[in-house]
Amino acid sequence: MKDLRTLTDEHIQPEDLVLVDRIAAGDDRALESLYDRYARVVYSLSMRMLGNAELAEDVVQETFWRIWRRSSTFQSSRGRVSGWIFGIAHNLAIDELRRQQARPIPVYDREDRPVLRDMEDQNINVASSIVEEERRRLIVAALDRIPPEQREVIELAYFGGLSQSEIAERLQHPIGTVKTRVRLGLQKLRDILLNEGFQLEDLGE
Amino acid sequence: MDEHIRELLPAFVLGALDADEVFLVEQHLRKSEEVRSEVEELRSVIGLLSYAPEPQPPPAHVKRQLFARIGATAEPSFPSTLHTNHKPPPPLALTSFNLWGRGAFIVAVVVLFVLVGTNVYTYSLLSDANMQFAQISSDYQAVNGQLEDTQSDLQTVTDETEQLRQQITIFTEAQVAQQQDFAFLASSATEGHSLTSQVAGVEGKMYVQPGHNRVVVVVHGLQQLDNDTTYQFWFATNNEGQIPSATFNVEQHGIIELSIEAPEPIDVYQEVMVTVETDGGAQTPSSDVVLTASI
Repeated sequence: MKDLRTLTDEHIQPEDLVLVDRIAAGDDRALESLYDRYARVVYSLSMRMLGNAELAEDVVQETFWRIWRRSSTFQSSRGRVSGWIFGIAHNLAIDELRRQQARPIPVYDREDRPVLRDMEDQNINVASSIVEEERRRLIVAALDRIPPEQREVIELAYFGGLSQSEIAERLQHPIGTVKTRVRLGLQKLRDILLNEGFQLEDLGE
Repeated sequence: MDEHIRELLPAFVLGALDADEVFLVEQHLRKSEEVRSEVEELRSVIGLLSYAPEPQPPPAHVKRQLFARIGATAEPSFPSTLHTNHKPPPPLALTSFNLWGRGAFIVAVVVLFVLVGTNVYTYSLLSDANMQFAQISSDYQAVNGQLEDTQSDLQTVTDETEQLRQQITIFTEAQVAQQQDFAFLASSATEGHSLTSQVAGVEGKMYVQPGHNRVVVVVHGLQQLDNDTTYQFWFATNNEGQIPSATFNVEQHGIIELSIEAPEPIDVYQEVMVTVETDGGAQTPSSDVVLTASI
């Protein structure tokens, strides 16, 4: 399993960098390749955070639009292409969550295009999907191994976009308890992943 | 590394710190290589969380819309008809060409070049204008969206500020009244009069200053009344009889402090009392008298 992961990583990251260079030169086919490789993770992350297909679709489109407009600003020394993409999507989803707090909107999907919504994109890169599945299996297993109360605060922070004080208020726990759980949970997650054989540079950022 | 900063870093990479803590971490991030390294490492871990949700492919129309958007702002190429439909004329045999014919041909070629050149130039200008227009439209939509969001946020903040201002006003007024009560009670000119009751456990004290209208009443032991009845305070003179004043109720603990302005200076009145009346108060007192005091 480790071989699959390592080999795929070694294969994918240089390809991603080439794609980003081509996108910076105005090659929309390179953007399409990057889209086919990562749109599924971006969409799944957005759905998890926003719970609304229409908003998640907007995040996917805006993420890759920004990649198209800003690919020349990407610095490979500061992390992986995948981490850059997920960071853009995560920030957009958090912005949307905060907009919802200020101006609540219905969380149900728009009903005027159910057919379109149900048509999945068939062009998603198959090799990338296998890597995603394997990574997902590992990260979910790692999350399962940290104490539930620590996992809960990490998930509320990352997927819910909540601050520690907001988490403390929601869970009715002292803020100090929440801070300790965030710190210990993340440290434990890192230790588990490292023990699983991940190198930090393989962690996807 | 400062231990406090180290403890903030996991929440920092999760985006879960409050603004003041973010500011603190960013200061150290600029100064310390160790902090930067720790943050990069934690970000690597956080990045994997993106893979955790159940995989769901986006609908196909998302991709179509994305590339339509890109296409709308891309520089258009020249119409293919300019290249594919233009065929060079067949070579002409100069021997069969007279001078007039050659002259007319040269003029025609020059005119043709001028026309094509003008068209190309015009088309180029048009393309640039289209591109700029598409860009401006896109920027306008983005700015308009941001403006709407900002206006919505501003309205929310304004509403919250107004609520807060009203709460502060109420609190300030209550605090001023309480300070005035304290000053009134602490004054050497203040006299205390006991309020007596036929009801067991009910008693109170009334504080007044000769020549002033203000009366502070402290009572305990009163029963909490139903919604359709209320306690009412009365001033009484021998000539004018009972004059209705403030109505009030008590919480479950039965204690209340009232600050009342009498219609005339307190020296005018010979007696005060508290009765139970129907909700809203009465103009003449009922017989249900719970407290009385002589002045």
